[in-house]
Amino acid sequence: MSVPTDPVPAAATSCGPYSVRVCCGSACVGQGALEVIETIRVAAGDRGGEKLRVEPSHTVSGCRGWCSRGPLVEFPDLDLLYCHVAPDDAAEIVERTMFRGEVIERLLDRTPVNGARHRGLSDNPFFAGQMRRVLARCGVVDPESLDHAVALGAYDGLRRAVEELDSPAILDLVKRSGLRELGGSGFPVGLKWAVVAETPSDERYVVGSGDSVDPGLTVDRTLLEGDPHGVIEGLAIAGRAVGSRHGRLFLRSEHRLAVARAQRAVAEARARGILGRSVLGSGVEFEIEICESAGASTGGEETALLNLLQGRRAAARPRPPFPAVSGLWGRPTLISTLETLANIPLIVGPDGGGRTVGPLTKVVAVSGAVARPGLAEVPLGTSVERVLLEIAGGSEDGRELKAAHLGGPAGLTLRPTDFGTAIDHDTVRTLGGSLGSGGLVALASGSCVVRFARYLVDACARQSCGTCPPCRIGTWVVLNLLDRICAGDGRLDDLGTLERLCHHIRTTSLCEIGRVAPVVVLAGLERFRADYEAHLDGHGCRPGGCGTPAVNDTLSKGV
Amino acid sequence: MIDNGRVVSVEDEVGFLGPEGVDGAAALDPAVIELVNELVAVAPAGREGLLAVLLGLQRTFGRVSWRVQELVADRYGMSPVQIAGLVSFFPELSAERRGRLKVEVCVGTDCHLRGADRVIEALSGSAAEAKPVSGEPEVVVEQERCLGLCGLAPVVRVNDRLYAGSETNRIERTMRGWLEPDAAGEDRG
Repeated sequence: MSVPTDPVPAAATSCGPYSVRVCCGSACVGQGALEVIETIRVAAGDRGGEKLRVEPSHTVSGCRGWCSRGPLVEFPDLDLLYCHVAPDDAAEIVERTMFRGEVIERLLDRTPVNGARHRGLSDNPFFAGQMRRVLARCGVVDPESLDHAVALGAYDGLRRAVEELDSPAILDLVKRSGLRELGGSGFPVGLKWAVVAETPSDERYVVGSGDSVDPGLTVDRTLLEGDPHGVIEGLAIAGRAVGSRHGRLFLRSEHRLAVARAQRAVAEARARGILGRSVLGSGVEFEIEICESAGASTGGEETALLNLLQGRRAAARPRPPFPAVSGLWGRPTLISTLETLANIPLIVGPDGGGRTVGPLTKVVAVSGAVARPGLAEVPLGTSVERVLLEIAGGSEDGRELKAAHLGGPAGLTLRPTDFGTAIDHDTVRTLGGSLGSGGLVALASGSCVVRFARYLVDACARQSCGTCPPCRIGTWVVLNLLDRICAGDGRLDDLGTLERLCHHIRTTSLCEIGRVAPVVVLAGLERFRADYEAHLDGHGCRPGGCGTPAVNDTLSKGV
Repeated sequence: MIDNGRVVSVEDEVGFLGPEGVDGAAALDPAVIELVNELVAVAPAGREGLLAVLLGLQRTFGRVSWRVQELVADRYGMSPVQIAGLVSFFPELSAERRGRLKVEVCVGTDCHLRGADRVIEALSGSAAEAKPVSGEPEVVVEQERCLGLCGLAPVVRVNDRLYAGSETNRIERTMRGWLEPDAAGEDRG
């Protein structure tokens, strides 16, 4: 097959009476979506597809955020969604569904627990339970066609921002929207923008950061693979609002298809006069450069990101000065996550960029031991329970979940009794965590929370840039303690030591990575103390003891 | 210069730490110098473009050798040790070639929970069995922090093709097919 970084055939292979969309996110492409498109095209051509009534359709769509079911083939007119489609299915799909409108039962989504089949987006709880605003175009628009994106409302917000609004008016809109940084601190966006705009300087920069902490990475990847123009538009509006001519998109190199699509989208927008010396003919200048991470992880730490953008090692530095005052090359710099930026066109656009005005949302990456893992966009304030049970379909094996971890390394490990917790910045902060990138990992019954904490601390320890001792040394000491506890060599006073040490690391680290590393241990000691204590009986982590299964049976799960 | 994922080298030199020393080092291939100039020209001006240049070199040659680092240092008016600092810091960059075929195993949260460790163990074993040619490892198993494909966890990427971690047999067949193209291995990406 051709490598997915090659341009996906963007031309509409519209054929037959029913238009078809094939998801071409990297998960679907990696599982053969391009072959599926090709076989559908060939089969439809043989059938005389071109001669029939042709709807203007774009066969390729971006990532829908439901990678566990890919490759996905959708018939929007029939409200029909086929999952796990193989190239061999194409002939039958063309003959039966595309031309006769019949449903092929075996390709429908099937809930593993009860075997229930769902026909399309409207009756599938995964999609029906969501409120897709930021992700509205993901899975619908052809991510490699600017025309298609524009037809679906892209750049309406930017047009309004450069033609009708001035900087204070945009700042006012954003402030009034109540939008807070999604993925990261939860800082009010309007306030941050105002600081950048009001700091006197000859130049300002705006940076879109596609590097949050996993599993939130799915959000960044999906936005770029599904609707790159939405992110570009948000960045351009941010530039207009704070008076910056220079935008940077910082992307993770591992997400190759996302990088390729972003590059293509920026080039296309530039060629069409949407970016460049005169944005949409308004005389306002704005240019975007794409920077890749080269495998380094800044974990969303702004000062490390700035060093990387300036061609230095991605190490953190003390703050203040804050990047909003002195960032890239010492100039005021606005750093925002891609999800935050993708919200901007909804706020600034005419009636929300052609999309309906509604509440603010959060994209939650549900993963782990649930029946329907994927990206779920829900209004802020939705309960964890609703996302886990209704949208994601509860546990994959029908047994009760042991716990759920919300918000990446800085997040909260919740007991089933805490599942009523609202997904909302303030609620999560009150409980001692941070909403972070909005990952929600379900831990199956029988999984070990101590091992899970060890994994997250390990990830932070490896990411440590080494600048400050609490993070560089402290996280490794915590890791060693957790290893000892898991191995069954834990001593009774280890839990007290852990608690004290974690508290010190949390309060004395230089940057967010160090500050978040111990959170999961502290939260675990508070909510799952019995689990930690169970490891101190001399046996550590063992089947029947702390609940770790002898063999991880999830490995047998097919894709 | 990348042919079907296989890195074809146009540079073969030892660098300033090599046996020939600084003075006796053979001149760099003009094609390499031309590529460096080209990358510097298209990258953002000044030091901001440095990382993009290094990435471009890494992706073309499968490494950024000492000699090339010296050349880049010269172009940016920096000391070679500063470039070496960057190359050793960023996981994607390396001074030595790490392997011709990269098997990327995601070790993100979800992949970890679904047994990425065991996948790495299994694949590392079969990667080590692959016979090295000219002293360089042929297949290298690398850990990726998060590919953002949590729905497929545990996920393995070989030449942009995705595999479920449970399909170790299929991945091994792919490795063999890649190493011995005549053996008509399955799934040659």
